[in-house]
Amino acid sequence: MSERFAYLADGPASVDGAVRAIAPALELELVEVAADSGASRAFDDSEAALHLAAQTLGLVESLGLTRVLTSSDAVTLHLRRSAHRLAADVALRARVNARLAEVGAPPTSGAVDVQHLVWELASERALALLHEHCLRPLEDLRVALLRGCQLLRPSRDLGASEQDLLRPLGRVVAACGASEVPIESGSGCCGAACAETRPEIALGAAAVPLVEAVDADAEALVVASSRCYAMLRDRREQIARNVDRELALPVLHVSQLVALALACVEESCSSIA
Amino acid sequence: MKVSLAIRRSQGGLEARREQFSVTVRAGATLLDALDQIKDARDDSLAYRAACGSGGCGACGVRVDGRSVLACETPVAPLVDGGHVPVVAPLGNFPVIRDLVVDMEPFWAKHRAIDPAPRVAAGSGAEAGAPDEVACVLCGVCVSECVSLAHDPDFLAPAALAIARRHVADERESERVRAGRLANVAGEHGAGACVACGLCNERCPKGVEPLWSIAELRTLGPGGGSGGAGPLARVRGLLGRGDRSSGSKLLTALRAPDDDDDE
Repeated sequence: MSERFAYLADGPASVDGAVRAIAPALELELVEVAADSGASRAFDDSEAALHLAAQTLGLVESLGLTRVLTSSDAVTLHLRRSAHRLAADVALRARVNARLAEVGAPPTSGAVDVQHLVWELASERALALLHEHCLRPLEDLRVALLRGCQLLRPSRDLGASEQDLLRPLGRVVAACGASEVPIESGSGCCGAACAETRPEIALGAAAVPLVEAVDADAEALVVASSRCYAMLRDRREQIARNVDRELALPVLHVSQLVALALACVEESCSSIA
Repeated sequence: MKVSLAIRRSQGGLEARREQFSVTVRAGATLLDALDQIKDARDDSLAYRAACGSGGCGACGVRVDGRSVLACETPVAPLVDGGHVPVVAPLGNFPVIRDLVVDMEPFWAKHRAIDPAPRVAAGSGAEAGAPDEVACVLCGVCVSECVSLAHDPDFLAPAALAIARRHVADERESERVRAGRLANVAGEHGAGACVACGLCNERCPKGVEPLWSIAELRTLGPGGGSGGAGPLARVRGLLGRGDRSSGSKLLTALRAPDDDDDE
């Protein structure tokens, strides 16, 4: 029986393409929702970000869905925190829903379960299907992992311990047959959140996992978050110049790694295939 | 219980080395108890800071296996589970004076820079509510973990920014003072330099959440979405910020004056 989710297709096209491609084999029924979750404003316009999150949650509820799936760490944290606040605070919810009503948007109860893709992929159900359908186990592939800081912290807002939140990406990678090359910065930060305000900080932070992965002889860096993926892929030349290193390491979103193992969307993984 | 610790030791700029010590401690001992025991029984030259021993003074911050903690609040037994020998090191992002003692002056300089005293008139009464930041013991654990600070040593960093947020939220202060505080933390090395990695929230031994304090400062500050204080003013100024079509109608509504907006 399929697991039904609203899917926020707001990541890079190659990530969303990989997610769509792996969904049937993993029995994920994705109802795509085009909405701005507000995550990109969460640290600069917190009020606007909350309203946008509420609009997204309300839209999901209006479709008769109770679960949201996203490929981004920032969207996961922002939507989970917003849903919790809206569900717990009646006055806040009434104020926000009044604003939504002004623009004809459906209200939200806040009772929406926000899941990150890697958490769903690491469920017993999905892992069993992954094992079953893994046509091309990536047995020779040595990968370093970057878990995405907002998928780990603040753990209080994510609803699990940081230790527990560290595990899902490794489980999925192992199920694909690849082997993990440990790096110190695997629970670190790609810097994406201040890529616009302080690019030199962002580039410095982003270099750390790439350099460590190269130094550890990893053949690819697998990231859990589409935001980390975009940061490390799109700015890799800048990152490399910044540290004066050759960093020609493929960066894969976990959905792309799974797609490789399932042998279903090679075109979205051309950097490593 | 016998415990072994690998302590990162250094002195006067010389290269650091790891030195392993084994001592016997009582059941329920803390990491600070173990350090005390090492100093008493093994090597009295070991340098570390401690004072109250009960989590109140913030003096005993160290890193254990890369994680910043208060030694006096950290049970030692789980650290040595299975024969593991944890590495105890000085706080990160601080200059090391000797062994586990760091130079806190950069921390205090940033604390001074945000003007840590409330600017309220005599007879203004008590601070309303109990902002989370009141719990801060200025231990430097959040600063030790800060990713942005590792790449920008001038970043004001989470502790100072959390205290700044506390004062910005203090309704006893005047609008002029509040605007000055917001401008003060809005510069190149201010709140906008945070990478939002969440380590400060995660590691704070007192449950302070600097990440959300920083987000509020960014929202209220000159570069944020607020354009000023107050729930109505906060959601203005959203035009021209790359609104996506799916959200623009809502954002336009948020920007519009309210009937009850008396500004």
